[in-house]
Amino acid sequence: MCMAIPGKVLSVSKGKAIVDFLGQNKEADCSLMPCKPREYVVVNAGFVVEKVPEQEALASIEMLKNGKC
Amino acid sequence: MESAELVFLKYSFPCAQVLLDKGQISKEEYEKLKSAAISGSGVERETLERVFTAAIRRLKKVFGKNYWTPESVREYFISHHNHFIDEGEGEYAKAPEYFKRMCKVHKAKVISRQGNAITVEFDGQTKAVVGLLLKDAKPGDTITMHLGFAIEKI
Repeated sequence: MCMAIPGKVLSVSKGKAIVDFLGQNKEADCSLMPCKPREYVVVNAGFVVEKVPEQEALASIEMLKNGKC
Repeated sequence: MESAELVFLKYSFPCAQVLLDKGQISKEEYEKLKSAAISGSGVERETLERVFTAAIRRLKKVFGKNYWTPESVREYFISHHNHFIDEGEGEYAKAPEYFKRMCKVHKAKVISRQGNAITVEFDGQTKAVVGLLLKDAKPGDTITMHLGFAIEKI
């Protein structure tokens, strides 16, 4: 399945967030949807577009790691 | 009038990120779709049918052989797409709740625009969406949105 993988925000500075996607860090523009470190977010075309509740995010990441999607 | 190709691309482009993350399309193909969606130049129907197979399948289910007109494509995304998600059709059967929420097409009212961000009122709350695909939205316009992107004025 692997749909819209949620990433964990590591740091935020000047409207840019560093987000950890399964161990890979990517920069995303969070000016549209301000986010804080430790929150889980979905990034689309370089923009943070959605926040994901931690439990749902962890369940999705777990499914991914187990190859169930 | 916009072509069926362009209407389809605008509504489906926000899903291309998911296809890229799943490894179903290459970075190169993703960038091509992105620039075609942003510039409004569109891409060939063959490409869209190959890349967005699930949306094409559902579009055909609703409209049969008349599926490829701008009106059918628009009506699919505005009036039918969310029902497929609610019914758990195809991959949506296994999709987490947050993803199903994001994947729905919603209507919203524009409050303001700043650079790439369009602030809209949706469900009694304000929310900012990506305005790359919709450059001429003005306060008061009703627009559609999909996966965090403003799609078009309606």
